[in-house]
Amino acid sequence: MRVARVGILGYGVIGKRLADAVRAQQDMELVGVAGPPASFSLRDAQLLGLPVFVTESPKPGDATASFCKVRGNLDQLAEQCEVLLDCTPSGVPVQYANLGRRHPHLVTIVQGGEKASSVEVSFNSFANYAEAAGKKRLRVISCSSTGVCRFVYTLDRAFGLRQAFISLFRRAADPGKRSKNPTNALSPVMGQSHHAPDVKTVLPHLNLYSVSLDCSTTFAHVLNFQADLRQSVETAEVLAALEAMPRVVVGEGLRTTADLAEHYRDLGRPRQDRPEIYVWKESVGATGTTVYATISVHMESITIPETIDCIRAALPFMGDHNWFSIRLTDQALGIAKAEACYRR
Amino acid sequence: MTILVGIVGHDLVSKRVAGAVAAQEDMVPSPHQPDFCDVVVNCAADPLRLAIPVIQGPGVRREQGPCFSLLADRAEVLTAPSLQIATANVLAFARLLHALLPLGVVTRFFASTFRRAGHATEPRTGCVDALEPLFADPAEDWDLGCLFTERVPTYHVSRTRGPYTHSDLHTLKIDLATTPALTDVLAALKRGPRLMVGAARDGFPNTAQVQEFFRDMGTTDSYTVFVWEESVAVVDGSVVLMVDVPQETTPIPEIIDAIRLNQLPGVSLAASVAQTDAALRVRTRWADWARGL
Repeated sequence: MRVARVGILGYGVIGKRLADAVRAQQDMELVGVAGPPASFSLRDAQLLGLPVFVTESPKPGDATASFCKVRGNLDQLAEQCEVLLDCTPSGVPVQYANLGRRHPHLVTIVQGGEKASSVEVSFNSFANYAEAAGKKRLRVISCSSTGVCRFVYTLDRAFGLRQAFISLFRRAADPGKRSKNPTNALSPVMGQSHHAPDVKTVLPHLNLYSVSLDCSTTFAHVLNFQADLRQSVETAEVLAALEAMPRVVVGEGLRTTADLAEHYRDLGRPRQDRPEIYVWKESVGATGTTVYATISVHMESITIPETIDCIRAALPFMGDHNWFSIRLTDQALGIAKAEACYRR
Repeated sequence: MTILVGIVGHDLVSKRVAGAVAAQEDMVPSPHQPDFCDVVVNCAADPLRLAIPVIQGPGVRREQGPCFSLLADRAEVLTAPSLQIATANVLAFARLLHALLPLGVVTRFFASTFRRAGHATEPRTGCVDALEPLFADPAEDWDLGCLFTERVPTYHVSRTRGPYTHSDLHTLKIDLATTPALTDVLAALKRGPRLMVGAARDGFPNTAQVQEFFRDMGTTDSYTVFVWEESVAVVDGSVVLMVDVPQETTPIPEIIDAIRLNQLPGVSLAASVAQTDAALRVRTRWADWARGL
């Protein structure tokens, strides 16, 4: 079986998770990870046995100089790969745009922090898988946008979605990061947030509006939906549609985002990750054609499955069926639901 | 007539009520037993029944009785033996509706509310680092029913609590039967009593800066709710906005109005609001603050 050769640029919050996810796929091979030579995350990559590459020559005292057996530079990594997952911080990928010109064979996939205009296509596994085929520069929509997308896609596919209003409460920073948000304040985003426009890059026919604020918490986002459907529904029907959807967990009894983190830690998930969106069953209600619901998005891991699917979608030899890829990815990542959920 | 106001219970609201009553020309806080007052404001946990009218504070367990807000029925308030002051958030919703209803009929109301974990002094206030959806709030649900019945046919409030202490911040989507112009919406909000419309670009990027402004202006307590101008939008016939609601202080002016309207038959709600706000020096127009710049 031919495998896709994948490299990762930036071994941070997303990069390290994608490294594990790629290695879990039977049809992919992780060629190596690259980053700044001073980055201690590359030390960890070395400890985990991953081939380490650097974006510039290490200096004495750099982490890679002290801890790593450096295999080469970024160009040398790119030469060996078919796909490069650019997981560098928002705004950085543009610095590596020339990499694609030096290596025309390379498919580059960036994350949602990059502008949609900087890529050929924005991607979501459910929404527009086929559009990725043959593209060289792609973007997986952002973490919260992915969460919104999965939810509205489910409603739209099952019932037809006329419009949705989404209110997001976002964590101020990932657990390991500093926050620009004041310690005891809420920071609203003025006007419409980027999430609805982001989702519309992959589901352009949907009528969405989103607002968001940042708050001093780290575990996960919470999103509230008001969705108007094209038909009247019962709450039970909405729950059934959500429960039948991959990468969506409908649960009850877990009160807070901290409870969710503990729960998935107890389940043995690596890094207590939850790539699925979590829907609080207690929050779901349908009144006529309107559905209300509250979900949680684990921003560190939610885009991982979609990024893996994007690799397959972009490479023609890997097949063009999104549900096939979604099932493969979920099985490899240990988040698969019943087989019937993947039959379309 | 000077209204003798008794105050029962000592909490974050009651101590502010005492000061607000003292600031009014037509009422005084009474040191006497409740039976020797004209009206009592009850800030204890349970409702109080007396021979004289009782204004039940926003933290009191709900029972029957008219619920007071800026949209209250004037006739119902006069001489009512028991008046329930709505929660701070419902009072805020009422202020916003009071401002927007002249623009047209409200067909649906949705609030995605972010609630502080608690006041900074409260010892048990939930998780230090988590968001917690709340699926019920009996007192607030009761007040919402009072506010919206026969006024707004459909409404829904989603609640999430988070590790924060200052105020609540809500995103509202208010569907109107006729689509207003954004300029009309902003003008209506700026006219509305006890609503301050401010801009993030003018130095209010977050709730901390809103709080700090009032601290620096010498009015640590803000009786107004704060609407971010840039958050106001008209989307497919709906008004969308974000509003900051301080929990301890928002009810104070409405408590004063409830006292006055319960006791004095010749005073309209609008007149009482003007009188209360003048006594409490409530300033809502940015122009009034900016005049000093």
